[in-house]
Amino acid sequence: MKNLKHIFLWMFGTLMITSCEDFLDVKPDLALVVPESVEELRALLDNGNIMNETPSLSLLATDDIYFAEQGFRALNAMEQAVYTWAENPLADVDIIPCWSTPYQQIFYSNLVLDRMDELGLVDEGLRGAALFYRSYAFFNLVSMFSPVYSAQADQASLGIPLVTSSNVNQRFSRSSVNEAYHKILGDLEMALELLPRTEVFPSRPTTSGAEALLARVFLAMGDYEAALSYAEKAWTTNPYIMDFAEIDLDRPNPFMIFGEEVIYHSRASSYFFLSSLQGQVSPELFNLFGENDYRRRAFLQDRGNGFYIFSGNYTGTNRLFTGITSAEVLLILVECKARLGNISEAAGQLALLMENRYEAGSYVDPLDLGTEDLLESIMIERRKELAFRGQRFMDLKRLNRHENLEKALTREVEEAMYNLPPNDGRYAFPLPQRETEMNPEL
Amino acid sequence: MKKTLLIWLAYLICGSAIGQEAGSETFTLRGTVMLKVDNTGLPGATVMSDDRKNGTVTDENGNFSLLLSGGLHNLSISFLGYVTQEIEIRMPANASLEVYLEEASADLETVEVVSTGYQELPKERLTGSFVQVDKELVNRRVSPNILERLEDVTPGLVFNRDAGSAGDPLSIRGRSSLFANTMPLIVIDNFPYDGPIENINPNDVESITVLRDAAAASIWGAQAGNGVIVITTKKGGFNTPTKISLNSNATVSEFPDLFYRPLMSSGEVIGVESMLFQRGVFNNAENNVNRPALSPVVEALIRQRDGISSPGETNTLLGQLATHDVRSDLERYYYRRPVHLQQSLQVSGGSTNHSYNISLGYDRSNQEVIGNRDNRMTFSARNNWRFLNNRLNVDLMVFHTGSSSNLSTELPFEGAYAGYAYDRLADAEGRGLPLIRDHRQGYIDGLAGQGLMDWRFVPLAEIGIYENRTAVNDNRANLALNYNILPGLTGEVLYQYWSNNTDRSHHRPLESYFVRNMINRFTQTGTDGSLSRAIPEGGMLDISESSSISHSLRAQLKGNTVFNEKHELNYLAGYEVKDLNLSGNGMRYYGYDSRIGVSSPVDFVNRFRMYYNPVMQQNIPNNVSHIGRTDRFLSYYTNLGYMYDHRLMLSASARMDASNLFGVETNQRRVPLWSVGGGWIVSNEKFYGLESLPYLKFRYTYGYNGNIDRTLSAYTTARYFAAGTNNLLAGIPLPYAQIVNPPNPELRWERIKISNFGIDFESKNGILEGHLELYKKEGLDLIGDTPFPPSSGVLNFRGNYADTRTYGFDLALNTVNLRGKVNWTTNLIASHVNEKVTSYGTEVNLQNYLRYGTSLGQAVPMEGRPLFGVYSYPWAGLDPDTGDPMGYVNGEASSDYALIFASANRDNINFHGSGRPTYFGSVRNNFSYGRLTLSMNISYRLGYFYKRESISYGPLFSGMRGHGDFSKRWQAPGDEAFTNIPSMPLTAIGNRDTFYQLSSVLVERGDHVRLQDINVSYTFPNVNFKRHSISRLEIYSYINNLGVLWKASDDPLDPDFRTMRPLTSVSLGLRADF
Repeated sequence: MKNLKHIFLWMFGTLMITSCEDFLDVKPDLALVVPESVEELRALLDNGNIMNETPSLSLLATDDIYFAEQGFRALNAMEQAVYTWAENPLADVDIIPCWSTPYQQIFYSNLVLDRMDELGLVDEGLRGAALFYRSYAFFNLVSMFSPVYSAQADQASLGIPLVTSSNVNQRFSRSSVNEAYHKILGDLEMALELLPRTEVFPSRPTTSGAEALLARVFLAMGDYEAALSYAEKAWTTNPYIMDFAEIDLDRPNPFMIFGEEVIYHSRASSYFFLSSLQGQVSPELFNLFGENDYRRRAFLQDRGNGFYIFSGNYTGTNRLFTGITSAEVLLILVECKARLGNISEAAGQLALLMENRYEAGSYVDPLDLGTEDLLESIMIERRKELAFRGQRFMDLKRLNRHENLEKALTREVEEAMYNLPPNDGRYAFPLPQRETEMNPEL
Repeated sequence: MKKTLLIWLAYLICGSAIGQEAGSETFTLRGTVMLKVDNTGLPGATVMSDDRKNGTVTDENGNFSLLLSGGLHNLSISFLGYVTQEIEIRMPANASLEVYLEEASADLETVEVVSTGYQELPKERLTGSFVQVDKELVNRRVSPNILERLEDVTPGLVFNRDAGSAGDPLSIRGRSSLFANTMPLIVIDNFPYDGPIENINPNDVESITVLRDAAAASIWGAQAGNGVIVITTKKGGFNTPTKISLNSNATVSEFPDLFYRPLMSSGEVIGVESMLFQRGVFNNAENNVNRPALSPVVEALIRQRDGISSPGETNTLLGQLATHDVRSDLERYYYRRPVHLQQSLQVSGGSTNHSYNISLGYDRSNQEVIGNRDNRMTFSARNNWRFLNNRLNVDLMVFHTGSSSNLSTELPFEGAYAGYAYDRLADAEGRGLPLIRDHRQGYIDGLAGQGLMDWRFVPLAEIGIYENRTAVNDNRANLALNYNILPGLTGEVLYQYWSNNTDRSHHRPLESYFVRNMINRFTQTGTDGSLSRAIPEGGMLDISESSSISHSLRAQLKGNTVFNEKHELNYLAGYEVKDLNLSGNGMRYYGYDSRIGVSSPVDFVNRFRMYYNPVMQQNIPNNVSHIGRTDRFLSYYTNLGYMYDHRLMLSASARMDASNLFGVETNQRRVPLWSVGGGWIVSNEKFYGLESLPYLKFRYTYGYNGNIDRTLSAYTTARYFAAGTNNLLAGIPLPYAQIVNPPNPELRWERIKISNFGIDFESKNGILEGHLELYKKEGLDLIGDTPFPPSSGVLNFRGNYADTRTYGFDLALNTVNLRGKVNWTTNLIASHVNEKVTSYGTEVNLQNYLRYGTSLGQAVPMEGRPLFGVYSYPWAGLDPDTGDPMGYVNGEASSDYALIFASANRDNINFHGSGRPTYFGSVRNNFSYGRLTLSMNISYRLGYFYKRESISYGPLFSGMRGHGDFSKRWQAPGDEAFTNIPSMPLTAIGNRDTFYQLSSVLVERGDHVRLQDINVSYTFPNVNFKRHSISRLEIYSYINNLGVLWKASDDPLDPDFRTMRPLTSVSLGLRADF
C-alpha cells in the first residue's frame, strides 16, 4: 500500500513536470506549411490557376468580338455594359477577377520576395520569377485600367496601386501611369539578370520570357527602338514558327498546350461571355482571314449561318491563350523595323511568318510591298495572329495615338448605336467598387 | 502532519457512527417491502444488514422483522429484477419501515448525481446548468443514433432544420460561433469522443448529461463553447446477482413518398419543351460539337421538323410520354420500406469486489433504396475491481464497434443528371429501357459497331451491380485507477486509447454506365481512324482508408471534506494531455477485374482528347488523396465547491488550455477560462415557511467557455497540392501551393461569456417540480470574415471580427397529475433563444443577406440582427397585364428588377425574423395503468420563418423539371386575383426569377406543433418459460413522426421537411431480464 502511494505520487509528479512546448510544436495538418524553403516558395509561384491567368474583360470592349441579339441578351449586366462601352460598366460590381487575380499574383510574388529577404534565402531564378510575375500582373492591370503611356503625359494620369509588400494590411494609392511603366521596366530588367535561360515548362518565366515581355511593354509605350532590341534578343533564342500546313486543320482545336512557339504561357480568366460560346469572331476580323490562310481553319470554328467562334487556343482547351509566342515576338520585330524605316528586313521577316501561315504562293510577297502597304500588312497579320489573345485592347489604345491609325468603334445592339471614339476615357476601365470603397488611399 | 489532520477530519465525519457501535443492545425492526408500481407487498425479498450478519426474507405479504443492534445500520433490500435499495436506519427505530422496490429497468428514480465527465457531483451542490437524461428517457425512443434520443427531451437543445444546416445539425442554446466548430463537445466515459457518433450503441448508455452554462462546461474549457454532452455507459453493481437483459426491436417505416415535393407534370414539361423548340432554343445544342443530350421530346420534334415522322406520330408519342411520371417508376423499381432491426444482450452483476457489464449489440437496416444495407456490431466489456478495503478502484472498459455498409444500387438521377419527367425505366414487361444521359441518342446510335463500349444508359440493368463498401472498426479502451489516498482525498489516473479505421472500397464494374462512359470519353482516335483506349477495359476501383488514433491521459486529485459539521468543501485539480493523429490515403485503379483482383496502369500525366470533342483535353482522374493531421491538447484545470449548512454554496473553476495551433506564437496557443457561481437553497433556511413548496433553490453562475478555429494561423500558411490537380486546373504538371491563410498576428481564441440564473423548486409530495433558467451568452472575438480591398491580395480576411449575444430561457416542469390506479405525469420543456450579431465589421452586397433560406446562399451575419435572419424584397403583386412579379422602387410598384435590387437597402427590405426556431419545446404525457404505460410527446417550434420553393423559369428553360406551382401560374389578365405565381416569360430572365425567389410572397411562418411520437409498453408479471424464469418481460411499441398537428402557414408541406417528408415508422420490441 505504501508502494502504491508512491507510485501515484511519482505519476503525478512526472506528469506535471513533463515539458509541453515540444509537444505542441507538431503541425496540425501534414499539407499545411509556413512557406520557408525555396521549394515551398516556388510551389506558390507554380500555382498556375492563379499565377498564369490574365484579365480578359477588355476583349469584350474591342472590335474583335461580336454578339448577336440572342447572345447579347444572355450576357450579365456588367458584360452588357462593357460591350456597349457604358460610362461606368463596373458601377455595381463588387469585385472582378480582372482586378483581383493580378493582385493575388502580386501578393504571391511579394510574399516570395519578402520571405526570401526575411529568411536570407538565395535563389536567383526564384527571385527573378517573382519579379517577372509581378511585372506581368502590373502590366496587365495598367493595360486595362489606365490610359496609354505617353512620355509627355502629365503626372496626374492615373496608374495603379503599385503594391510592393506582402503585408495585407498595408494600403497603396494609385501611381501615375509613367511611374507604373517605369516600375515594370525596372523590375523586368532586374529579372532579366536573374532568370534562367530555360525552364521545365513555359508556365515559368525565362530570360526569353522577360525579353519578350519587355518588347511587349516597350511596344505599348511606343518605344520602337527598345522594343526592337528586346524582340531581337528573344527571337534569336526562340526562332520557331510552326508550319500550319503541317497541322491537322480538321480538329476544332489542333493545338496542344505548351506548343513550340510558346515562350511564356498564360490564359485568360474565365467569364460568362467566354464560356457562353455566344461571342463570335466579328465579321470585320473574320473577313481578314482569306480562304488561303490556314489560320481560318486552325483558329476559327464554323457554327453555321456565318457564326464563327474562336477555338484555336494554344492552351489546348477552350480557355483563351494570352501568353507570349515567338510569332508575336517576330511581329513586334517587323513592326518596329518597319516603323523605324528598315523596310527590307521587315518584309523579309514578315515573309517568314506568312510562308508558314498561308498556302504556298497564294499571297502577295511582302518584299513586293511599298512602305505603307507593308505596315498595313504587318498590322493585319498582327491582328489575325494575335486574335483573341488579349492584345487587341492595348493595340487599339496605342494605335489611337498615331495619326491615321486611330479608329472609332461603333456597335449596333437592339437597334441602338454605341460609339467609342479614339482616345476616349473609356479606354481605361474604372476600378471595381470594393477597391474604391475599402482602400482609403484611393 | 497533513496526514494527521486529514485523518482527524475523517474521524470527525465518521466519528459519530463509530462511537455508537459500542452499544450491544439489540432492537427489532419491523417493516414491509412493497412494489412501487401498485403498492402491493412483495414476498421473498431479501433484507440484509451491511455487515451481512443479520438478514431475513419477507413473508407472503411482504412483511419482515429483523434484530439489529443499536446505532446506524445500512440495510440493503433486494429482489431479483428490482433495483436494490440501501437504507440507512438508526436503531432503535421509532416506526416500522416501508420500502418500495422498483423494477430494474423501468427505474424512474431521479438521478441524484450528475457527471461532468471529470467528477460526479450531487445535484444539491450544483450551481451550474445541467440537464440529466436518464436511462428511461434514453430508451424511450427507438433509434440507432444516440443523439436523436436527446431531441424534445432536453431543454435548450434543438435540431436545426433550416436550409444549409447540414454542417450544423444541433445547437445547445443557439449558435455560439460563426465559422469555427459549431458542434457541441461529445464526451463518452470521461473523454471527448472523436469518432462518428453512429458508433455508439444507445443500449449501452446509462445516462446523458448536457452541460449548458459556463460553470457546468468550463471544466471542458476551450472545447466547451457550444455546450457539452456527457454520455456515461452502463456498469455493473457490486454485490448484485447476475442479470441477463435482452432488448430486441424492429422498426418499419412507411414507403418513401417521392411525390411529396410538388413538381410539374410530364405534360407540362412537354408543353414547355415544345414551346422552346418552336423558338429555336435547342438549335445551338443541336449543332454543338459536344453532342449534348437532347430530351426524347426534342428529338421527336426534330424528327417531325425534318419530315422523318408525321405530326400525327409525334403527337401520339408526346401524348404517351405525358401520361407517365418517372417518379412512379423510381418508386416501383428502386424504393422499399426501410426496415431497421436492433438486438442487444447484456450480462451484468458483481461480487463484493468485482462488478462487470458485458454487452453485445447488433443493428441491421435495409435502407430505402433496394440493395443498400448497413449493419453495426458493438461489443463492450466493463469491469470494476475494488482492492485494499475498497481504497483502490480499477475500472477497465473495452469497446468495439464494427460497422459495414454496402450500397450496391446507385439512384439513376444524381448530381447534375436529373433525367426527364417522363422517362420510362422499363417497358411493359418490366425490361430495363435506356435513358438519354450525356449525348444525343442519334450520336450514340451512330457509334454502334465502331469499337466503342456500348454508350447507352440502362438504369435498371445497374441495380445491385455496385460494390460500394464502407467498413469501420472503432476500438476504445479506458483504464481508470482511483485510489483513496486519505479519507476524503482521492487520486485518479485515467487513460484512454481510441482507434478508428475506416476502409472504403467502391467497385464500379465494367457493365456500369459510369465506367463505359469514362472509357469511351478517353478513347483516342489515331490518324488512321483506329481507336485506342486510354482507360483499359475493366472495372474501376476507388479505395480509400483512413485511420485515427488518440491517446488521452488525465491525472487528478479530488477531495471532499466537512469541517465544523456545517462546512463542506470539495475540490478537484488535474492535468490532461491528448494526442490525436489522423492519416489517410486514397487511390483509383482502372481496368480492375474483381474476379482475379488485377488492375492495369494508366497515364495520369498526359492529357487526352475527348472522343466526342477532340478540342477538349482532360487528364484521367486519379482520385489520389493523402491526409495527415495531428491535434494536441494540454490542459490544467481546477474546480472548487463550497457548501455551508446545505443552504449556501459557492463554486469556482479555472482551466488553461493549450493546443498545437498552427504557426501561432507560444503564448497565443493558450487560453485561460474560468467561472464562478453561487447557490442558495432557500427552503433549508429556518425562516422559510412555505409548506406547499418544500424545496426552493436559486443559483447563479458567470464565466467563460472557449472555441477554436484550427484552420487559422498567425503566420502565412500554405497548403500543398500534388501535380495532378494543378494539371487538371491549369494544365501545368507541377506540384503547387496555395495560400490558405494570410498572416494574422492578432489571432485570438473565441470566447463565450455566459451568465446563468436558475431556480429549482418542488411542491409538496412532488406534484410539481421544475427548473427555470435565464441566461445570457456573449460571443466575444468570434472569428468572422471581413472584406479587404482586392489590391491587398486577399478578398476576405478571416480574423476575430465578430461579437454576438444571446438571451434565452429554458424551463422544465414535471407534474404528477394523477396518482393511484391510473398514474398520469406530464413533462413540459420550453426554451427560448434570442440571438443577435452585435458587431460584424462589414456589410456585403445586400442580396447576399436575402439569399439565406433558398438554394442560392447561406446565412450572412448582419450587425444588429439574428445570425440566421430571414429577409425578403417587399412584394407588390403580379403585373395585371403581364403576370410579371413586381417589387417596389421608391414606393412605386415596378418590375424593373435591376432597379429594385439597386434601390433596396437595409431599411426598405423586409426583415421577418429568425430562420431558426426561437421558441421550442415539448409536452410529454405519461400514463400508466397497472402494467401498461403510454407516453406521448408533442413538440413545438415557434417564432421562425422559412422560404417556400416555387417555380424558377431559368432552370426550367434549361431543361430542369420545374416546381409544381407552374400549373397555378398567372396565364391571363385577371389571374392575379387568385395567384401570386408569375407568368412564364418568353426567355428566362435571371433577375426576375431571383426577385420572385427572394420576395416576401414566398416567406412563410415556420411555427408548428407536431405529434412526434407515442410509446406504449406492457410488462408481464413473472413468467416461467420451460423452467427458465424470466423476471421481467416487457413488450413495447414506438411510433415516430406521427405528423404535424398545427402549423401557422397554409403551405401544405411540413415546415421543417420540405423536400422529403419524415416517414412515419413503427417499432415493436421486447425487453426481457433473466
